[in-house]
Amino acid sequence: MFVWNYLKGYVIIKAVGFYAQRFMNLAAYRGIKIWDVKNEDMVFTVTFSYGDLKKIEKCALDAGCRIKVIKEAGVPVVLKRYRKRTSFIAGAAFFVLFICFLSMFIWSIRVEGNLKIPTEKILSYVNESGLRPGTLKSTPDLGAISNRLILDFDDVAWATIRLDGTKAVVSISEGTKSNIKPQDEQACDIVAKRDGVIESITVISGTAQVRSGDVVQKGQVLVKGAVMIANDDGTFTEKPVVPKAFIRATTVYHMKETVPIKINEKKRTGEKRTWIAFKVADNDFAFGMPLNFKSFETQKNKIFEFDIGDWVFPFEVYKQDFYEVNNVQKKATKEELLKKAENMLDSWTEENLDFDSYVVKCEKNSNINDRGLIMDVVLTVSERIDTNQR
Amino acid sequence: MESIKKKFSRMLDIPQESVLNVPYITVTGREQLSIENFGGILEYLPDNIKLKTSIGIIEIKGNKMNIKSMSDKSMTINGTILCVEFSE
Repeated sequence: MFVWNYLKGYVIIKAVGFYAQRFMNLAAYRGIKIWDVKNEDMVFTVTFSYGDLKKIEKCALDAGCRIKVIKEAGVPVVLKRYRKRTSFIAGAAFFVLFICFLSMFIWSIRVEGNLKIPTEKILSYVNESGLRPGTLKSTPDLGAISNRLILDFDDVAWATIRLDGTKAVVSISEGTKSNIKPQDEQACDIVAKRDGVIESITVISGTAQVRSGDVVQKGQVLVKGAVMIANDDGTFTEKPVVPKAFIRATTVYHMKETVPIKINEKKRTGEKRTWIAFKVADNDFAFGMPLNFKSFETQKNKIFEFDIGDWVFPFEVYKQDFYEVNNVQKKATKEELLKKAENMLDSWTEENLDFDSYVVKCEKNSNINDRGLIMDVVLTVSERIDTNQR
Repeated sequence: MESIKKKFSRMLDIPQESVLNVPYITVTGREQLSIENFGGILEYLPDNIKLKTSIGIIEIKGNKMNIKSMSDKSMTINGTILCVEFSE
């Protein structure tokens, strides 16, 4: 109620006189709603709408009672106070319109639900598809972009893009490649894709040809795409079926890699140039001394960025430092070689093993000679080895 | 005429306050009293409010009473209500 009264505007007066009750009766009779009436030693405090001020003054005159305005408040009062300050009102109106204008654009994009696919990769994909900060909300076809996201990323099982104010939220659900492949509905056999020892076998349809603990070789039939059906006369008929099974096995991978001992390193010469740059939306405007370095490194330091919560204003000022560098070759230390070897092993595991595989045992041998570090790794892995034979 | 209206409203079970313009009083706890169909304020003091109605004078006694809202037909009184008296 207070908010409504504030929007309409209200006036508080003090009414004094012998006929104060008559004044209130007259006001009520003339259709004026009054509220918060208090009697303090025969001085009546009365509140009413701002628009009824003229009528109240007339009522007081007719009733022979003196009134004094003690407070005027609300939106009409504020507007009346500032009506001559045209630039102020114009500024306020411009501000409201500017906010409305800005709310027509997408200003930030958030990716959620991704575990394996890097956020930057999805962001750059949607940017290329037309969904980027600064675009009109109505411009990008969000449904088409999310469909393309599903088709172009093997690991994305489902994707949707919704607008939350000025923020576009890309929600994705990841799955393994095998989950999103269309089911092979032709009768075939399930064979091993690697040599290994069977850990577990769960057959949904088909006839198992191996058991847990069996040693299998690549290409060996694990589940036959047929079942035997007993006939009435006691004979059996083989009926082809689409085989389905989950078979995990322990497999072994052998990896031998050499990490070269000589590594290229960039060494700063001490020469430096500094540029001041402005970034408006996706456009950079940089100012500074011309660069005459053959090779350089850059470092970006933000000076000013305006944001409200998650929303970043598409304007920033930054300082870009350019350092001249010389490429020098140096001999890597043992720690550096080992660290590089570890990184190589991690990236190999990520590339070659499926999402549901895990390393059971890792035996590493490394030798350092004049050429570099020779890493010999034997990985014992638990993974699914079933694959349909075409 | 009044008597016909009264009989009519009783016969058809129509609320009298809407036909006969008699006051309709609602008391909520002891803190609030609402009255519809009143004619005007005769006296307003923090401990005594006298109202003119079609059935006579209604006197509301209480402590620290103030008029929460008032229009030509209804009024809401806040404060501690002690008693409501009717007189001709």
